[in-house]
Amino acid sequence: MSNKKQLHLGVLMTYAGIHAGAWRHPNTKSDQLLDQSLYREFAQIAERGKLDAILIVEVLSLTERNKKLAEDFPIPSPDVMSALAVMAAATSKIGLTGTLNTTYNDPFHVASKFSALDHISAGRAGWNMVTSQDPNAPFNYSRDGQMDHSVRYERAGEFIDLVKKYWDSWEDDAVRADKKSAIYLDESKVHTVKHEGKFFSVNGKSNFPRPVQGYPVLFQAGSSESGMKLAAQQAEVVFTAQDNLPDALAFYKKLKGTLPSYGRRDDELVILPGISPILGSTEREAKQLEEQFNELILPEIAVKRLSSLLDFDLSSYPIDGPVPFSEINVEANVTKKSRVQLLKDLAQRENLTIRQLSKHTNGGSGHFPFVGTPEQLADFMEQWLEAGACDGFNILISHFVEGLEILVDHAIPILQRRGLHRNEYTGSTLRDHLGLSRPVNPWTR
Amino acid sequence: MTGQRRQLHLMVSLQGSGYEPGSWRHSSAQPDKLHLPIYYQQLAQTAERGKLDLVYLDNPFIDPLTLMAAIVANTDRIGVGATVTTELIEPFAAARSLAALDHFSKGRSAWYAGTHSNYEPQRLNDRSSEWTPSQLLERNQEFIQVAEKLWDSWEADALLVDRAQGKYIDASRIHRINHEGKYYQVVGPLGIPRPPQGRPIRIGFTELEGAIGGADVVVTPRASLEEAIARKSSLHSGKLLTTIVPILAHTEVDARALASELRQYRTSKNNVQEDNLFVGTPTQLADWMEMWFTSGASDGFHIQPALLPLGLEDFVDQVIPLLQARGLFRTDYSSSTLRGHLDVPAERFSEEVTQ
Repeated sequence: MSNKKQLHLGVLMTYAGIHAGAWRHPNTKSDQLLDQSLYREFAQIAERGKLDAILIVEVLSLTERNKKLAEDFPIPSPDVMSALAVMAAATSKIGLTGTLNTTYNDPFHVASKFSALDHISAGRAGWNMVTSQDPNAPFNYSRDGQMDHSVRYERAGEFIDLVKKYWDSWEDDAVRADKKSAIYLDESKVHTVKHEGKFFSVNGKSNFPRPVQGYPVLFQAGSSESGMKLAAQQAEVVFTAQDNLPDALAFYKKLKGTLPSYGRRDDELVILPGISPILGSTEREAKQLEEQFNELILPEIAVKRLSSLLDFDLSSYPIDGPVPFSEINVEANVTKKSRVQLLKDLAQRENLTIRQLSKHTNGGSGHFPFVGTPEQLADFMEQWLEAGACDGFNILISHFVEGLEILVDHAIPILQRRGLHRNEYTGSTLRDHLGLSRPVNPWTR
Repeated sequence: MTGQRRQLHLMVSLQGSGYEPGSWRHSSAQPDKLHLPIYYQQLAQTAERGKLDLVYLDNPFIDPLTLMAAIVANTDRIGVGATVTTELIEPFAAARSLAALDHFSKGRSAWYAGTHSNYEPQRLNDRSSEWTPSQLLERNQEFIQVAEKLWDSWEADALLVDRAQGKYIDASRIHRINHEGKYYQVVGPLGIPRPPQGRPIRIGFTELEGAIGGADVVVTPRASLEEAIARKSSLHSGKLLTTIVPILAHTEVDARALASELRQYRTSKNNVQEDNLFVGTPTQLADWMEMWFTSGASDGFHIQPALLPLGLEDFVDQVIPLLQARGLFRTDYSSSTLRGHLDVPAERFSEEVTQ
């Protein structure tokens, strides 16, 4: 067995694919987005590729532009936990990660849902902890408006602590099920969760068992200062948007460097930059596919998307002129600080016009947009891994399911041949795949 | 079909090892599995084998909607229902989950909007502890109202997937609900299209808190025949199901012995509704069900097996065939949706909901 460091690979399943034009492509299964069968198929292909995990994100409301529903955009992903449960039924090894936000949910329900998923999947669940950037969400949840960035993160920190307490409420062997003595639960192994905090106050026991993995694997995204702090404290896998190697390397070193101050080791945190590949058997073919996708989005729509992202109306500026960043206040955009900064840096670094920059929002929202052959993708991944800029990648699939099929059938075998990716799963839980240890229940220490 | 007898409807509730509290101690019970989803998947598959309309998840150990998804993924035709405790979750979240499950199951979802859960730990700072029981009920009714408005927020033909025109949806057919209520303020619309059933089937239990009015399925405990007939005739829409807790064996003597054994396993003061118990043979149960149903006392039955999995297996293998032979119950599913099985038509798209 190779001692060479291997890539950890996740795949993101969102909308009809990450590319905004993806749904209109004839090969995309856009009319199956509400069918169980699509999710099962996606999961089975990913498992065939021996990937670590699938990630499904939570989308709280329909896409709007200037207060109107966007008709050109596919509907959001359906319910996260339902989709993951369905994928669990169709697979046996691949990790199943989902986003549930800490702003509009209750910690008990999040803890309960992930305990259920972990048992449904025999230990393959992961929780992507986000605070939620959706500005419309508060108005669907009987709230007056969005919480401040820092308040959201404060709530998130407390939320996560409480969720862990719920998971630890039952010890692993709390179920005695002794028919003779009539003892079902060993009450000495079921602990009351006592929590008195700024946002939550609880006094009671969980009614669900400890997850198979102890805790589902904890994922986190968000590269703002608060996000990085939360990651260093709590996360086991971190997603990040990096569009060049030096920045990625700096981020990796910085984040790993903060771990010892929280009593954590280097290998307790897996860092996965996002990459949104468009692959073809030749470079030309890949570029053609990219153009096909881009053509499926009208330039005015692309500019509208960019305007939305920057929270600044670009429609009155010449499309082939520069992006008026001097007039765009990065700090004011509280929901997407880090992404806006990324786009600004990119535009300035490469002198992009509005039209050009708008194409960068079609792919991975600031993640690395890769266009090329599977061989080139493997080279790229190998380079970043060996440079120490990542522990693997989160691959944002371009279009369903073909984008995943091409990755699994053409890129994965190359990585396997180079010893950079597993040929077979050696474990059966998501923790096994990611090389993460199982948390000990504090009650049993 | 002419000459076809009116057929009854069957719903089975799954609670752990059965409705007798001490049932887990019976030799056939599998108490080490009660907190595992696979146990309920297998029970649901047994119920589907018996062609039941609906399986209702009533277990305390697993998140209801997540378990419902696992059951949906492992069944094909049977309806699947779960509890939504309206006390502490937002209607928007529940409506979305149920809509997704209705899509994934191709129209087999059901729910019960309950006011509170005995199973959740006490949150000391949640506002619901300030409310009176009647306020909780009021809030429960508003929750249902919001969920229904959200399901109605997409017209049936709002989803286009028109690649040529570049129109995924027709925005003119999707409406904000702009609900400004006493307990909830929700703008909407729902984030996913109209469920295949229009709205998931709603269950009401007369013995529990939560709205009965407007429910598609109303579950009521076993009463006298006269009371039952009176209740049935006062129900304007929806199907009325009588609760029955069967304890079955080959002979009446054996059935009574089993009932006695299970009673012995009870500890402390477990609350058991003796009135719903039916202790006897499969034939006796089928006879009673036929009498009850043909008298017009209900549209069918809500089975709460006293002992699981054995009680459900016996019901499916021994009682169902008798009902089928008498033309009282389907021999196979003729519909693919729960509304179809129950013969409860979908609500018309609400024309009062506008932009």
